[in-house]
Amino acid sequence: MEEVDNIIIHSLRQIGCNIEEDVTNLGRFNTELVVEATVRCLDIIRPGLGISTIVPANMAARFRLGATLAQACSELGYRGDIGYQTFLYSSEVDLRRLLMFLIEKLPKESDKSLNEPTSRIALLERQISGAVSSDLSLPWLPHYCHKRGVRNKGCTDRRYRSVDLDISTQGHGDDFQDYRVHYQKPITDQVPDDQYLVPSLVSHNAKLIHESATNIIERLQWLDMHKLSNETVEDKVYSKNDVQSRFTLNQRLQFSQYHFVSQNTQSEEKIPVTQAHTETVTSLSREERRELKIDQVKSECESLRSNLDELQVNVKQLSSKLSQVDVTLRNAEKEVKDSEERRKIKARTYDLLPNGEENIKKLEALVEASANKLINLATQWERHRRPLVEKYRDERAKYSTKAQSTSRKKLDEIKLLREKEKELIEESRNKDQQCTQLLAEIPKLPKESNRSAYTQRILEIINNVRKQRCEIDKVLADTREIQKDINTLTGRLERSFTVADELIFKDAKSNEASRKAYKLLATLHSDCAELVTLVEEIGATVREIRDLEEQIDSESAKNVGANLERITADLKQMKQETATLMAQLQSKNS
Amino acid sequence: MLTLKSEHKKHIHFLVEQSTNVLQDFCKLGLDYLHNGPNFKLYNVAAQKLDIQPEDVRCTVEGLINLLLESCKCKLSTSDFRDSIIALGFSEDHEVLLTKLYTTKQSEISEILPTLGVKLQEYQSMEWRFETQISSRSLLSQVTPLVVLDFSLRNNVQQKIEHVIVQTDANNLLHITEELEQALQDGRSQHLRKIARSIR
Amino acid sequence: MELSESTVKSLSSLQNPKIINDVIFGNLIDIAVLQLCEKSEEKYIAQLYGSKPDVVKEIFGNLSSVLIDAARLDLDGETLSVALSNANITGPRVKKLCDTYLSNKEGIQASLSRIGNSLPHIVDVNWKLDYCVKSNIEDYIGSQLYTIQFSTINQGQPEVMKFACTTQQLQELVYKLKDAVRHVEKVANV
Repeated sequence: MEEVDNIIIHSLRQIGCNIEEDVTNLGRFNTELVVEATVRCLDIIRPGLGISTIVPANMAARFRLGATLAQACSELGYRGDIGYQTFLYSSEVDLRRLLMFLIEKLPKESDKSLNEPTSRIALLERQISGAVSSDLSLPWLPHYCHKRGVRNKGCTDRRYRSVDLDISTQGHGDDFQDYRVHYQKPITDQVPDDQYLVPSLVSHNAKLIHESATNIIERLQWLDMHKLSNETVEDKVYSKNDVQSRFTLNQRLQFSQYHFVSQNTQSEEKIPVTQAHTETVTSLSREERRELKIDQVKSECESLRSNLDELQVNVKQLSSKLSQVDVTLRNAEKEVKDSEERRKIKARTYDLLPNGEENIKKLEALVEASANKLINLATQWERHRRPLVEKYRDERAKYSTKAQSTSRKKLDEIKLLREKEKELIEESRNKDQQCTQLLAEIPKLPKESNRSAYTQRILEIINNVRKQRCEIDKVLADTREIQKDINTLTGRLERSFTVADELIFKDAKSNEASRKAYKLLATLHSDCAELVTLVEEIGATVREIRDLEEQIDSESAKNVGANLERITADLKQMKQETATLMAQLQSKNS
Repeated sequence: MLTLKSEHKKHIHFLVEQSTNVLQDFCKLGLDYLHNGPNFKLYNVAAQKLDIQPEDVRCTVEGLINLLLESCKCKLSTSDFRDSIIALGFSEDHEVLLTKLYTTKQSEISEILPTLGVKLQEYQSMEWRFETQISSRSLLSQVTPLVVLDFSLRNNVQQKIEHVIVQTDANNLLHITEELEQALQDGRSQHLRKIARSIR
Repeated sequence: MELSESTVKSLSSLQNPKIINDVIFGNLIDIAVLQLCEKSEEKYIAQLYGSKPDVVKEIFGNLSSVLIDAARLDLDGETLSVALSNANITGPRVKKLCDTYLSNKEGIQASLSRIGNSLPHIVDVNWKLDYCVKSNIEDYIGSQLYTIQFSTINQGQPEVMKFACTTQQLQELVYKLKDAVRHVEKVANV
């Protein structure tokens, strides 16, 4: 019983009963404790019962409390005999049965922890049910009372209309910079209406991320840009040079393209503006005129701008013509120099013409000498050059392989590092998640240890029970054996008695002494039988005594005497209370 | 009792003089008119048989139909109808035939009549579907539960069913259901019954 | 979250307080959020131009675009900061950006969710019960006729859907609606 009491007390402490440390069995529970325990159990099993855990001082209120508790317990399905006396004048056995019943009814923790859904569909279903229930829980309001966007989700009030936004970055030449500083509008002014802003931004993002160029120059640029961003630093230097040399070539092309782009944006801005105008024109006449004027001014502005553009184009054309003319001039000068040279040579030949033979010979000798010299120099050059070239080649090969291999290595390393970083980030996130999960689980843990203590205790109890059963079995076997022995012995006695009886009876006919012996034998037999019955009777009586003692014990456990005393005391108190009440009533009446 | 216009009476009067068989034929013609609309070929045949103008046959058939319609409009009982027929001068045999025609067609005609009046679009049926919007171009991940309602409404002018598809959320669905249920209950209240009784 | 090259380029200039000072940055982000939530007050981007209108315009545009994209993808603050740090954009400014984003995410998403197209949305119902007495077709009618009018909102404009029905038809409609309500409640209590 002690084990059961321990378990009951432990469970009661868990649900928040204030049981002192030295209370170890139910026999020591007083009325206040019994009521508190019962009320707490009932509160958990059926929340909202609203019974106070404090026992009132007034006797009548006490009885009412006991009666309501008894009713609540029997409503829960308690079968045993229950009434106010169970709580106010408790007996240990009844109390134990009641508390065991209540603790069994307590909701178990395993019921609470739902298995969390993990699949995407299940998660979605949970979200949907959450959204619907939050929707249903709100009180209905007419639509004009709604705060914007909070209610009526799924009710859209504008179409997806977007314009092309111009958010450009730096670094495209001075003219472009000038445009950005002075003429480019902020995005809020690029849209004709607030409604356009958000969709335009969404489109802008999508365009930037999934952009692919359309015309060939843009495509080339796009390719270059990608090369630039994808290649490593060293490669970047080379390709930059590349781009720079190309830059001079493409400058004109690019310029014209930027021009085109900015014109585009301007025309796009214009469209919604004029739309807006047509709307307002119908509504107000004064504004109309003003708008018209503004329109005129704007159109003038436009024409001026287009004039400016044309002029710029002209200037460009002229400057290009100028450079062409420069080139032709330089060519002409070169030609002049060339002809001058030729003329000098011709003058000298004229000088040398009179003594031709000699001069020719001289010239031939000179030519031969110079040819010889040339050959000499060539061989010399060759001699110097070969090792140098070879060296150069070697060096180049070495250098290029070295550089490439190191750069590639570094690239790989960087890539590896990037990957590692990503993995580490992922891992740390996972770890964090696990940490939070474990942290959440911590409060649940101490209960677990309690449970293990429980199970250990239960296992011990089971072992004890098993041992006891073994012993009981042993005792039963012993008694059965003894019974068997008794049976065989009585059988043997019977048989030997009949044999002796017959023998003596035969002799008794002739012998007087034998007759006496026979008589004695008969008396002996009957006496012995009497003795045996007496012994059996004694056994039965002893058993009865033991039963009665047990009954006495159980009766005394109900501590009737003490309860009776308490009841009489309570009765007295009640009588007193009634008397005082009567007195009050009388005094009021009189 | 029925009161007919003199013109109408003239058209009907032709039948009074005819034999039972002829009246039966006219009843058949009237049934055919009700089911399939006017059929001038049949009128020509009948006119040749009776040796009268097809126009007269048409007038007579239409008069007969009009008689039925007027009777239905006034919600005449069978005995009232019988009295009216006899007052028009029909014989007993004729009366039996016409009454039979009236009783068989009465319910059908009175069903059709209310649909001819002034009327808004009329509720025919409604289908619903619960759906959840989980993504849109401007918001890639969302959970927006919606109820789509497909109302079939009958347009009484063009005699065709129109579908009006609308959506609502759970909150408003609850509200409109409660509101319409209230309407239904109010329509059955004691107050309204009293009004109906007083008008009758 | 993907970030385009130009966005990355422009946002990485945020890390340098010499380009944009803290006050202007704070104002920029406030105005961006106000614009995106469409609570536009009398605050304009032009007030912040100072000596660098180009940079201010550029950063304002890119800030708005990042905020919109993050809200569109339903990112939380941490994911946004991770995405930015993957593009090597870090620092206290990013933290401020993420915090502002987080506290205004609902508003931005509300304005995102209002874009698009949807069926007319029922927001209210009105009804009227007529007792028909007589018409040119029928002498005695004696029937109840309900006129039901649903108020709907279609692309922000209030509209009306109106029809007539008899008591039986209304009964049928109410049955069907109740069926739908039951189903919705079942969904709510999965």
